[in-house]
Amino acid sequence: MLKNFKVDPTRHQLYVDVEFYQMNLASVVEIARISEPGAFLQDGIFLPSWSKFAAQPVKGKGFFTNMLQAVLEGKGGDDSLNVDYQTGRKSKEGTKVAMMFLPGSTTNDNLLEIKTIAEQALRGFRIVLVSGAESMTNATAEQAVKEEIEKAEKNNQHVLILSAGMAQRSFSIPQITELYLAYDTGESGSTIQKISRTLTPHKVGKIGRVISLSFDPNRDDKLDTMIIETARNYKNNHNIKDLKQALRDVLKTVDIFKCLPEGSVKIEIDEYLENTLARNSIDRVIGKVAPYRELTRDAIVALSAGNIDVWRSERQKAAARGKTHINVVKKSKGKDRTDASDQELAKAKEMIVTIAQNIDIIRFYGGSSIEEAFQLMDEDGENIQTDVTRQFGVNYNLIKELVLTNFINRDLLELKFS
Amino acid sequence: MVCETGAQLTIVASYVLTSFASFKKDLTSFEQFRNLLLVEAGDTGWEEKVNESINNRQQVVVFLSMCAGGRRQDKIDTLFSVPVNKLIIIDEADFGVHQVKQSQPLIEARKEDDVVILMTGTNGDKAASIWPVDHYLSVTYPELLIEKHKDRLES
Repeated sequence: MLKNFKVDPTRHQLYVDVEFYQMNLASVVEIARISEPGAFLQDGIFLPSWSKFAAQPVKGKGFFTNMLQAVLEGKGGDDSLNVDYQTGRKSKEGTKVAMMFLPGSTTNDNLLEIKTIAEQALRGFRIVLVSGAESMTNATAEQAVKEEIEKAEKNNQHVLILSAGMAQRSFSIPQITELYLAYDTGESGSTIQKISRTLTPHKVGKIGRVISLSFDPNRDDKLDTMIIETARNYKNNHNIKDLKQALRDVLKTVDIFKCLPEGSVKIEIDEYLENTLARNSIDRVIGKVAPYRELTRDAIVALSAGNIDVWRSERQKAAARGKTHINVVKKSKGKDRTDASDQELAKAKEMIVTIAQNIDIIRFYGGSSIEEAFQLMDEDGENIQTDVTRQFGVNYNLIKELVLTNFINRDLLELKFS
Repeated sequence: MVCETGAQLTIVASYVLTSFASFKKDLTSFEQFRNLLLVEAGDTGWEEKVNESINNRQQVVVFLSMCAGGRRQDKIDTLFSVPVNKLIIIDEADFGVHQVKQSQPLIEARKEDDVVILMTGTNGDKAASIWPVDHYLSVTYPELLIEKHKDRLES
């Protein structure tokens, strides 16, 4: 197909390998619970989170100091937090350049506080804050950080770059080999952008290590969307029979580790699936990938409100045009975008996630597939259908349409029952 | 794409201005791009450089900021009045430029034979929400690693 270029497969070797680590902060949180009981208090309950730390960093100073020293200097006696031990990094590798993303809500004043705490905690590190608080902009950040790294190398210092969001795009520092996610949750696209800061090619054999600093690893879903979407792409592009097999292949080339006192352990497919199911990640991806933008505003509103009448009317219009599936309300060229507001789209997405989360109510009604389950419900009549409508808060027929027409992605739905 | 399509005028538009540096780096690092003239819309004499290049049948790549202001509309009017088919590359298309106010001027200026490529590392659906899209190609980073480590799939 290309006239002037040929694909050079040897260049694939330039892609930076990536390893993901889920780090459980339980031990430093426990210290904080005893020594600073007020640090993460909400309505009288001790509930640690990154957003609470970001809102009052001075209050959580002890926690943050302990965390940084445990992770980056191996202090405190918890080997599960010692990043060099977990990743197998050796001191001969020289200057370490790490980047840590804090919650996007962190104010400039608080970022300056956090920078000071980090400087006091990590004597061997040069702390570089990428923020408007340091009169930096996205346009100047890359050059400024390069200069700081040069200074650190001259002084035999490691580098820790702190950011609350600046420099998450088009910020290419090849030396970054560790990327810390120090926020609770976030939009998956934003997380992918942040992760990518450690994927700029550098020396041959570079591994970008992404460490999710988590208060509850069982609920930490930061990586799930990327992994599941990769499996979907890979399945579709390589004619792989089922999504679970595609996911298995993805996890053969992208390593995810849990950090334990005896060292890091790779998470295998079955455990990963179990975890993603437990934290409803597959449902959230189902909500994300549904083709809402192909619907008219009325259809979106109907979806968010569960109003089957409007939905049916759109389908009838579509049928009149000779179309057979549900998402045929795409507008003419140049306008193929729903006029629904972001709020209405968000509500529609919520509804799809809710349906996916509760689909077992239908799937386990009977039969060996979801089609058979719906068929049995159709045959059993109004009572069960009314019951489903009441339980979901969404009309039974609408749910059926959404599932059987693949508006709710069937591959992902099947993954829940594989 | 610039070389493959032979587009005389390529417009690289973005709301994230640091992305231009990456384009410039790649376009100046490889021999295959030696004949391309790179111009920043807004630099002194940029319009003359573009016109001269077109007249000399030299391929030109123009970097266009999609941030509002800075005579953005004038620049768009100038570029799209050049009577050649254009290749328009919108980088970081899910950020800023996915908003109607930022995209509409380009959508309105684009002629039927101009080719538009929306590029983004994330949120492709958001990026594509405003434009009529003929083809959608999605590759995630881990898929590149699968290509790199195909041998592992056999185990």
